[in-house]
Amino acid sequence: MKNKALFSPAGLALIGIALLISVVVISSLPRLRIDLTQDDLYTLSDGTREVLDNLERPIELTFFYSEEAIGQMPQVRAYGNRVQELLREMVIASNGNLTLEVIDPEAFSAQEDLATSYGIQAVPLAAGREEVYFGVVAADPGTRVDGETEVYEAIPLVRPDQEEFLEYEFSRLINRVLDPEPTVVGLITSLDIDGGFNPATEQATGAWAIMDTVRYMYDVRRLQNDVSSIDEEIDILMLVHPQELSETTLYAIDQFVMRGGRALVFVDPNSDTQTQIMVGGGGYRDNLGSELPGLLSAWGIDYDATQVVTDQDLALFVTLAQGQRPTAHYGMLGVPREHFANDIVSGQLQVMNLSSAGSLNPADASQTNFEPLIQTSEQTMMMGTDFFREMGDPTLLIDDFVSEEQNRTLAARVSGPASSAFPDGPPSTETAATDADADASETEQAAADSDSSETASQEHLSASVSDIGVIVVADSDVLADRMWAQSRQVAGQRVINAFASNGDFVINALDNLSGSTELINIRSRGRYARPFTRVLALQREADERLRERETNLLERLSETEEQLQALNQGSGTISPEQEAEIERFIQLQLDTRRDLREVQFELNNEIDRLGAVLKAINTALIPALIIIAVLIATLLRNRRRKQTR
Amino acid sequence: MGTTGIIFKRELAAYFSTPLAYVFIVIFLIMNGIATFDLGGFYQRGQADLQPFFNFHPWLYLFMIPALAMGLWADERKTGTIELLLTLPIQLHEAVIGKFLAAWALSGSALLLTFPLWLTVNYLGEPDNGVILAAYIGSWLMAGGFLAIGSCMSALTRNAVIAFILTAAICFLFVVSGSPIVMNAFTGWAPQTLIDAVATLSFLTHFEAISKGVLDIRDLLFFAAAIVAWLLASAVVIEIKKAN
Repeated sequence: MKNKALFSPAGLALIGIALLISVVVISSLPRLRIDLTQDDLYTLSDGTREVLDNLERPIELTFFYSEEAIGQMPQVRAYGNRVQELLREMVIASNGNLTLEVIDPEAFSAQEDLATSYGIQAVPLAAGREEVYFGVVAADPGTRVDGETEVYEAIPLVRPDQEEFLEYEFSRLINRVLDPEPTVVGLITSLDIDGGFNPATEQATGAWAIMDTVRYMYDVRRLQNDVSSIDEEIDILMLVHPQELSETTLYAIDQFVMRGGRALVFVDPNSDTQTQIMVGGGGYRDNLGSELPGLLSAWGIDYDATQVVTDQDLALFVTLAQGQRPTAHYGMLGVPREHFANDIVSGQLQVMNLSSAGSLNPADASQTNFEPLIQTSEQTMMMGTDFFREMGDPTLLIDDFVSEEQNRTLAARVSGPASSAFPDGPPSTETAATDADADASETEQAAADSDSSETASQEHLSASVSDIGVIVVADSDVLADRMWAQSRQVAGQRVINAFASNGDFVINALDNLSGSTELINIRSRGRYARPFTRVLALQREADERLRERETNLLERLSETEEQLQALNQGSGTISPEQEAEIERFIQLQLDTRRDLREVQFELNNEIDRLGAVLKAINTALIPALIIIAVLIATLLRNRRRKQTR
Repeated sequence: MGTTGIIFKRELAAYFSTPLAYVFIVIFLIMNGIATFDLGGFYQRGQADLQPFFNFHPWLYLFMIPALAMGLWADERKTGTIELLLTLPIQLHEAVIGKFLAAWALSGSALLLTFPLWLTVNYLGEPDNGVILAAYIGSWLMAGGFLAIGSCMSALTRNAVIAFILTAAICFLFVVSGSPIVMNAFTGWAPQTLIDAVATLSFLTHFEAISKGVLDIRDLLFFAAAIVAWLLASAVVIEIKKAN
């Protein structure tokens, strides 16, 4: 033929080599792809693009990646490729401000020292496996002095279970390098969360475990409960169980949020923690609830500080007295993973424990976005705080419980534009003055505050400058140590052993709020569950229909039993008629019981039947049609042949 | 291209004039149903996607495609019609491509006939139909890769059974390359680039990448390169055998 050389065994070898080479070349091509997924899961989100667009100076990304060692672990390798691809894509979108270097540090090399200087260590990915580097660093080359970079941020190990959040993690990394100033958290609270004084023991009490964690990561400033303006340096306001705040303070908080300040708010209809605190002269406080009058509704949240959520399905079991069996406490909720929204703040939490929490609802005619983060089951009931406070025994909750069959939201994120709760400007100075007159020291405080506010010279804002960013939790006990962590002292340091994700939630929320709006908007767009809605509907429908029958049968059963009892209580001798009647009732009782069992059986039966039908259709329908069509065609052909013969 | 078209039509018609096409489609559909519902637990899973369905395709093709491809050239050689075919005024590459396309079209129609499953999953819930479309495309491309291998193996021998076994074995290697079984055979002596190349030869990783819902140019080009290379090898083998 035309090419003798090709059409020979050597030619075959050539083709093989050509295939290998082209495969290598193809795999090194830049990525060019059509994302067919509904939510563009594999395309950079707008939030990331915005972060990258706003880069004003070069940032260096370094991926420390033990390529050679990982080459033998295809799963990890695929993940490593995914990480690299995402980083490259971010580099392309950055208009040249980002650079990426992938380093495979060899043992005892300068590169290994570099990795160590960034705090990146080799770790064994599986037991018995070689130790590998798998970390990402973002560094600001502008701060490099004598080869030492001052400003950098690192993810020491990119965990495989982080895949859904990779884009967020990398964007946050870059953002932190751009803005290396530590985030300042302002804390306003009526609880002794940050340490206090126990009048009973006359001793100082330590800060709660949660504050240890928060202080470790942020610069925390304690603000007085009567603060009249919020310092500009504060990035996030953390309000924990704010009680009886003055109009002036509320106005300061309102304006802080309108200016674009972030807020993490814990309001609580009933603080269990506070019941244990004796105030000054002894005795308990009257009001254990907290709210932010006017503010929450201005942000688009409907919250009632006199109602507590009880939940039958999520109730935690508590032991009331030693040696007793634990009983369900409908007011103490252990919320499992299924009830968390797939949000960066809540998406990876395992379980959260809350106690006597309130319920949050989107307010009518609100222009903000209300996104639930934590929700209850459907078996809930709202109960008054009065009842809650006075009941000594949580089993009373079980007796009073009638399910309202409604999901309640325990925590929510609010974003979007909002209006001020003070549309007419600051509250009149008169009330502020009387507030201040009440206490001389407060006057001083107010004076000092007004000084600082003067320098800031803040104008009244009747609407938010940009989108607000607020996360509200309708419980403050969620922060208490007993709900989530055991801490002990080891060599003078507090070691926290968490048994619930409450702490992670707080850190996630602060972390998330400290980012720019773009960062907050990079949601985990990961794998959403897409359940068989048809099957669920069927289940619900069958449930309802059958529950009705079940109730009827149960009623019949108890009636029969009553009548039986009445007959038995009659005179000592039983007439034959009575005996027959008893016989009849016993039979009826047996029948009813059997019917009940059948009802329960039918519930699953219907769903199984649908499954069987669908399986039959998908396995046999088309093959059967094909076989029938072929048979008919053969018959027709044979007949035609016979006719022509 | 005209001659290729004629061969394509002739071959496709030949499939349907014997029970082969029907048997292939019927068995393919039944196996798919069983794999999806019984092995994959499609219904019990309660998730509106076709993952349990597509997960079995590489393994299903592993014995379905060799059965389809084994007759491509082996039969022609056995019955002696190959000489006749090659004396006709047809270019060799036209014959190779025409036969391949006919077999690929048949496997594609078998795949299309699984459409009740697509209707089912849309009836049960709200699946991401973009992901499903991508997975169908990926599955069909993978079938094409297997068929091209089968075409070459079929050209090697006049015995269809041997062609079947050879195809299945090589396809298996192409599915699992990149997994530790294959990698361990290379580590220690082969250069890293060769190991990388072998690892990226895996049909499985490219198929899985596409079936996530992303049509990446690299995955598409990979299947194209594999198909072209194996078809070229088929032509070379036929030519060598003819010379003998």
